[in-house]
Amino acid sequence: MSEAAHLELRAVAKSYEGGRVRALRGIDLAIARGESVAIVGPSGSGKSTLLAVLGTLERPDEGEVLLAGRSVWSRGRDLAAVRALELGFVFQLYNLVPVLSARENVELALQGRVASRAERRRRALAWLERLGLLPRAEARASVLSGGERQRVALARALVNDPPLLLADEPTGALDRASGELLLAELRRTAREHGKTLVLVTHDPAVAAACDRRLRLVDGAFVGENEA
Amino acid sequence: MILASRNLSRRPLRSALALCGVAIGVAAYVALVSIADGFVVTLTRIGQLGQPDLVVQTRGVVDPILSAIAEPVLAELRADEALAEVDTYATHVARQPAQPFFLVFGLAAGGASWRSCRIEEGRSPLANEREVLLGRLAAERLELGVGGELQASGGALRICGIFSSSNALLAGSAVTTSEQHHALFPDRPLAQLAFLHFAEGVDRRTWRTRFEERHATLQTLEPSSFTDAYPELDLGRQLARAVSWIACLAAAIGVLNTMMMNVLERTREIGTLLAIGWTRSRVLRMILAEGCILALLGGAAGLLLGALGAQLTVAWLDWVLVTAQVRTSTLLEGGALALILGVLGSLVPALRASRLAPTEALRYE
Repeated sequence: MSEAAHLELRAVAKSYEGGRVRALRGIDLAIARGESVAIVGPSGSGKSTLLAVLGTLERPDEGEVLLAGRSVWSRGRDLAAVRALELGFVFQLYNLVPVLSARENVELALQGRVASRAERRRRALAWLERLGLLPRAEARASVLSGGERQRVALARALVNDPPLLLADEPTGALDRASGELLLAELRRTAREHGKTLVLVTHDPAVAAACDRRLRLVDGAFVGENEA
Repeated sequence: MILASRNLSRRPLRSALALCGVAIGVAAYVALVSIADGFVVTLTRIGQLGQPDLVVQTRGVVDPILSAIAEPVLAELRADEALAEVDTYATHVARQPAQPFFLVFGLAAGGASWRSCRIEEGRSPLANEREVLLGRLAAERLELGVGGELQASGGALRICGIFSSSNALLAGSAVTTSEQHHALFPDRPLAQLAFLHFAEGVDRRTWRTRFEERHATLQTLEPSSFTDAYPELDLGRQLARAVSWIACLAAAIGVLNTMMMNVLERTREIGTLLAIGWTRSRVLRMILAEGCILALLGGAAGLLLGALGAQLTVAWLDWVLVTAQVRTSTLLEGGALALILGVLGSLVPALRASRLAPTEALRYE
């Protein structure tokens, strides 16, 4: 595998229910820095498990996950710090805290990392401004539209300036127009800031917008860049 | 902290109910302990009648009303040149229609306690008459004046005068002389307690030691620690605590239930926080903070309710012997209790939340 890979999986396997359900079967994958990769495949193919493994949320039963050349599961590695500073998550259902404002939701990712409240506020507002949400910064998440919520979730994923973005069906809960807008935002941000982007999607249009498309079936890659 | 406090507003009714539970628990603690403390303070006032240097009573009695100083001992004390004055006290409970626990004191005529009663209306009781002086507080409570009558065993007692006293216990009772008291209530001794005032230059410690050596059945007490001789009074405080702890246990279960429900409903959200880099200890602290905010708000309300409730309960009982003594230490204990309830009630949900596996939490429906 490439020495320059930003993210690398080596023979990663993951199963559930005592080995009866094999979600990932010996996955090898190398993603270069700044590359955008779409993982596609039918429901139950292991896409979400793969994303969870890439995001250090799930420990593989076998194999290795390397981020910038270092195993994320090596002894003494601060996983919370990896999740906060090395990668940013965007979820299908946004996963915002409804009682907090857009700004406060973005600030959540800075809690415990940036001590100054003023600095947290400044950084959150800066990302909301970049994503066109400054006028809605103090609005509660519960009153935002789906597109606005997903952009807040994107700001939350980016506010720590992580080099890697992981997105699970980021347009899945949006209407087509909002989805296209979000996707354009995601690609523009990734390109402008040199982020590596890995997203899971069912939508061929979303997948087509990425540099690479990997098809996952029954926990194994079965094709790359297929139409 | 912002998140912790906002989270409580998600289910306002549930949070309010848990808050009420804590408030009731803390209020019960403050009110019951304050009333128990008030009872001790009232009894302490008995030992301070006439501001003596030393109090003598029968050794080991559980209540001053059960003490009796024999007349030869009284005579010996009165003849002792080391003592400038020997005051005495006896009491009888005379049940009144409006006040079931009404005290009639027999005080040594001309003694310090007697002198502390200033007659404002009427006159002193006449010898061999069934007459008493009524305290101003008692006169107001019983709505009686000079010429009125008190109920007592052996017949009515005529009120010959109204007096005021800085001692609330006396002001809420009736008094007469020791001799007349003994005549009215022959089953009562002439003196249950003796209040000693030393002459100048007397070595009190030596006097006290010698007195107790001569009279093994009697004991001497400092007026300020008069109630220390009645360990049974502690039973009242302990009982008050025990009863309030039951209320507190219910409050802790209320907080626990609320926090468990909160954590369960926010499982996916907690998974998200873990996914964006929150440490498990930060999640734990957030849930603990929620429980503590809830409990402290409830505790603050409970302290107010408890202090007010103690006063209202005493006013409702309308007994002179029962007052409420809301001490700062009791309020601090109430505040600490609220905090303990918050921690106890939220610890298990907080541990549960902090141990969630992020992926399972994110999948939670």
